[in-house]
Amino acid sequence: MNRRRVLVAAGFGLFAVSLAELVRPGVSPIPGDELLLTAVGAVALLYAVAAALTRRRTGPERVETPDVELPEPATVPGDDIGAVLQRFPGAERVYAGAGTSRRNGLRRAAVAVLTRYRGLEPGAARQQVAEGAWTDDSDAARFLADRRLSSSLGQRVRRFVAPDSGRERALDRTVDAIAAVAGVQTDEESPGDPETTNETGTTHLAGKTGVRRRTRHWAGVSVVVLVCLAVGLLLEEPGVLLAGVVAVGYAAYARVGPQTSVDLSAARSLDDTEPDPGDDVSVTVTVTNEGGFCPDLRIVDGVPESLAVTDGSPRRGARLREGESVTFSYTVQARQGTHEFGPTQVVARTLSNSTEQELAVGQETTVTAVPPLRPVQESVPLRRQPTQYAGRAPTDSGGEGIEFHTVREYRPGDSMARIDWNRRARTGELTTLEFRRERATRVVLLVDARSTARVGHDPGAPDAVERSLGATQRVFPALLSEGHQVGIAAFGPAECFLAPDTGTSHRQRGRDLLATHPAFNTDPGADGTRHTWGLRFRKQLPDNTQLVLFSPLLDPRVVRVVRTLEAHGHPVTVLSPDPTATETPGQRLMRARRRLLVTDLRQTGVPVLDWPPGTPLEETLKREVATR
Amino acid sequence: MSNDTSNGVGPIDRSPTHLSSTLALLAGVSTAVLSAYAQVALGATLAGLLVLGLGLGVGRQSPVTVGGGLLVAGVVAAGVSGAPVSATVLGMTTALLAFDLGTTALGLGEQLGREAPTSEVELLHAVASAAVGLGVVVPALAIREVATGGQPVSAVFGLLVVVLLSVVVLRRADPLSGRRA
Repeated sequence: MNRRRVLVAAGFGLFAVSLAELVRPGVSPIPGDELLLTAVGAVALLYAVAAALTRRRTGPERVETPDVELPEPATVPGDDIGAVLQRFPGAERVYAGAGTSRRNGLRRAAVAVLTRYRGLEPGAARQQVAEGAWTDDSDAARFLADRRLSSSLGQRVRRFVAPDSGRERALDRTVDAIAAVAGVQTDEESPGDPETTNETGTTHLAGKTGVRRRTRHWAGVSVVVLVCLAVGLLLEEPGVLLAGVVAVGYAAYARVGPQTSVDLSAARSLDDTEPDPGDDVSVTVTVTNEGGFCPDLRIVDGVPESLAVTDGSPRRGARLREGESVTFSYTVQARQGTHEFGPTQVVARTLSNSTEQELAVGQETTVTAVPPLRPVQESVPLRRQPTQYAGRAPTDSGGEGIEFHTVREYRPGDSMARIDWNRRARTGELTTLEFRRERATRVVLLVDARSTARVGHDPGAPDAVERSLGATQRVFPALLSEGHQVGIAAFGPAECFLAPDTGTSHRQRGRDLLATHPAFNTDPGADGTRHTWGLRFRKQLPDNTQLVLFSPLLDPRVVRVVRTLEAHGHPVTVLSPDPTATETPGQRLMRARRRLLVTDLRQTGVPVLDWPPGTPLEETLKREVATR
Repeated sequence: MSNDTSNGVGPIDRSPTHLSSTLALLAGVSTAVLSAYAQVALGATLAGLLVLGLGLGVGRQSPVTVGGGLLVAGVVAAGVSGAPVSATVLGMTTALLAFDLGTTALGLGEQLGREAPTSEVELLHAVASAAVGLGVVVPALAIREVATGGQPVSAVFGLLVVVLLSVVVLRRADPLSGRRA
């Protein structure tokens, strides 16, 4: 620091003396010599080279701002073939001691689909795979075969030219062959454009708030100065020399730009903090400068990750004098649940662009959207399990009711209204009509809200949990109005259980729970669902309660849970939003795996309602009722 | 529950902002005009202009830096091949302005996006940068006019050493400390 002061003082002194020399030659004690000028030029050139060589090879550095406008896209299941294979259900023990290599995983998957869909014994299936007889696709057959099968000349040439691409190609074809056995076709349906994956910022203000950083905006300008000096002196060009002086001006501007401390405040207002889902909410942000002049403020509002901006921009560039403020507004579309606006991110730059400071101003704002309950228009196919309460679920026993069931002999005490008077008139016999007795059942709607369920068939579409929740919101009031006792629970790391009940206040409680409970509306991250979950859940569950499970059915664990619940006397109906796609081989394999799990569940007598994306829930329910 | 939650919000356009890009290209064009005293110089500045425009088109920093460097080289070449001093000095100013405004356009585009309203900030940066350039050019040309009689070599030498010293000091100055170097 001291040396710099000495240099600056010497510079100023020299400057004054030289100016005086210009006006009145002869006052300066400095020797004037052409040779000295050349020497200075050489020094400048050397310094320029040294500066250019030692300069960091990086361009300007800037604080990054997240894409706050976009909601986080759903992931399509099946990105990693290895992961899909690892938890492929069935046939685990067919290859005893087999490694975890991809090829062995594919062999296991092939055996699993062959046993399930072609009715082969595991041994026979394994033999078919080993001999390559299980598929018509020769690439796939050879890939999984135990020994080398003869290959065509073209295949040999291809292997020779590009061994890796051949392997990848064989892998893809094998996956497709396995998926084909499970009935999954290539591009069965083409869900939207796969290019729409966007990186959304999940890190708002990563702990660097308030720190002033260099931007290196003017990196390289001092090299320009030195080059001009050197060229100007060595070639004796006054114009180039003076051009160097211009560059000195910019170098000085970059280094000594005015610095004021930045002091900002921000306020955010929403025109409706409790909108209905789908409503447009207008957000107005006001940023006020409470410190000195801020020439360059880059403002990005903290839009919640879960909300999409539909109109306007949550970004704004502004210059604010002391006490001035800037106001801007934009519109977000409300989605169900509780969403939190983070603080507003501001990047404050100096006039010369050479430093920037990142700040988080303002407070958090919360918006809560609770959807109105819109009961589903079809009856929900429940399992037969009556309680003693009157309701609308038909039972297999006769008694009071509407629908005709049987006729039986009159017993004393039977209601006069139920005696078959026509028959009495015809034959003289006294008979009693039996109607199908209708009883209420007790149902708990169980939503699979684990992070593994937060996947969708298309990055832009709602994920399986959102679709499950949407379905739950429609099934819950429908079952309540049919007279059932309905409860709600979450299958996931967060605890959520609403015991089955009826009544208006229960209906309201359920509505709020579905819309705002963190178990449904926040991604739990890594799957921390404890292994004791099933046990705890069964303890909470009243006797004689059946379950409707909303799950994408992507992993064997959920199937195990269903089986355990069935074994403990809780009949389960599964409504499964299908999140799989057929874009890549991994995605097709995932679809095959899910299909296998669905088949397994159906074979054990559990009704599985497969709900493909883009179809109304009613259609799925109607189809299920029709097939019963 | 169909796909009604996915609406038409596309990815954010993070390409360089329009106003600063236009101003940067204008500055580049002026540089080319001011350097049109020699074929080499004009070639270099035109190439610089092209690369700069390309960099702004694709939104990348390195072509903008290279383009700025070519513009500067063109101005130096023009100065060496006999362009008037005022043209050289002004050309240097516009060349550095082109680089500065291009980089500003990139930075604003990256941080706020092209759609965000940023024009007031961009105009302020442009005016300030231009003012700095003119603030140096005008006195420099004025001193040269005053001393146009016989520049004593000793005075030139003294001034040059001052410039060199200031570069050394400025290179060490830390913009974060916020104090005058």
